[in-house]
Amino acid sequence: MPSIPYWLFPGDDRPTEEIDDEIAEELQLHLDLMAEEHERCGLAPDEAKQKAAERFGDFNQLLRRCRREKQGDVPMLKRVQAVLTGLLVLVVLSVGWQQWKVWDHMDGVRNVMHGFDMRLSEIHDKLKIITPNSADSLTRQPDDAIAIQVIDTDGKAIENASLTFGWTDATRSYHDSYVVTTNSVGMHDTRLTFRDKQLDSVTAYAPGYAFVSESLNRPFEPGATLTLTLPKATKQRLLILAPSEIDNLPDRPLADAEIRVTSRTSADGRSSNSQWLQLKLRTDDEGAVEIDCVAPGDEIQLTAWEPKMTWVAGPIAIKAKPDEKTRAFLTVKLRPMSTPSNFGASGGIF
Amino acid sequence: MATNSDNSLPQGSLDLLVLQSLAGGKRHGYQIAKHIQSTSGDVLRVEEGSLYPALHRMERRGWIASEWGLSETNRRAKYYGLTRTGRAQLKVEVASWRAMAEAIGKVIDAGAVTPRLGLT
Repeated sequence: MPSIPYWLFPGDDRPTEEIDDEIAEELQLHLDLMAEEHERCGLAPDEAKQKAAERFGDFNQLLRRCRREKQGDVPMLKRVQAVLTGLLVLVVLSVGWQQWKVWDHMDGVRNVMHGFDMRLSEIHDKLKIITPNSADSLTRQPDDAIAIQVIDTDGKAIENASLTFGWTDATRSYHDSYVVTTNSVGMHDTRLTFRDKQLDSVTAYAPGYAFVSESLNRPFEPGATLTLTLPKATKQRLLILAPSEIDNLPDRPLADAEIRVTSRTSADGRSSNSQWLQLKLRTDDEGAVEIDCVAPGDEIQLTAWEPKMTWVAGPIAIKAKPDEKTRAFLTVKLRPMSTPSNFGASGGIF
Repeated sequence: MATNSDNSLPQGSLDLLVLQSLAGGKRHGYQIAKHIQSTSGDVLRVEEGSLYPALHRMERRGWIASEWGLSETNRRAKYYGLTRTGRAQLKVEVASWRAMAEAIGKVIDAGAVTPRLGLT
């Protein structure tokens, strides 16, 4: 029968004092019984005890031997465990200290970079004043590159405004879009052509402003700046009604339907198309929706979608002076879209 | 031939003798020592310095188990008894010892022992 190594058997992990007391009691009994036996053989009690002690040997040494047998490697393992725990604590503290130093250093680096960025923006603004038609970045632009600048009606740059570019391929049979954002001074540099793609439109939008789009299908001077001015938006609540499916019944609210403002024409006659702009709105259970991407005095076109139907509405006149107190609903009556909606290829107003 | 004049146990036999002495029932350390001495006709005497470390070692290996009780003189005593593992180990030890004794006996009977071998 294969034997298990002795050192694998677990030792007694009770406190050493408790183990010693138990062993001492056991050995003392043996010693006393030996002394009693010597007394029965005729020795005096003291002589009997002395003889028993001589026979027994070193009591404490025997106790220690017994303790070692009982505990096995437990004391050593406990010392090893204590050392390893201490080492682990040191390692964790060391790593934490190093990490804190890195973070503290990175804060300083970030502060320096932020200051550098601020200084760079100041230089950038001064260059723009000196050479308004030159490249607005500090790097040399390719020949078909332009800069796009997004500002509000007060001339203030709009940071982090979204710019949605519509592009087409060389055959003009495929259309798609991508979105970027303006930098801290409302600017974005772009090429008009790259690889087999050609940009043909850009739509700018920022929360709190009406969207503005512009065609890119026209010649630009190399390094020119295209400025898009976004008017302040107004919040307009709409009640969307669709014709009843049953004749002679009143219109029904178009509940839980997707709505999009497909175009807006400003009071001065400038039109913008949200062809690629991902501004999806949804009517509530009562057919109401609030739009905030159009300006006071706009005329807008809407498109709404139901699972089996596409609706359009417009032109809808947005109040020139919106009633901010009552925020009354503007009722919009939908009509069926005469042709299937192929949003993305319906043609813009350019 | 050298003789074992001090009546110490043959090497490697302590575990066997302790296990065998517990085969008949629980005993405390002093009883185990007296049992071995008396059963062997005073030939074998267990040294206390060997007995108790062996008892604790065998307990740790699971061959014997202990519990506190009262001695014949109403004193607290630690009694040891065989476990199932200990009974199996006893069988192994007995078989091994018998095989050894038989082999030694054959050598003796064959007259092949010489003083140089120094069997003790």
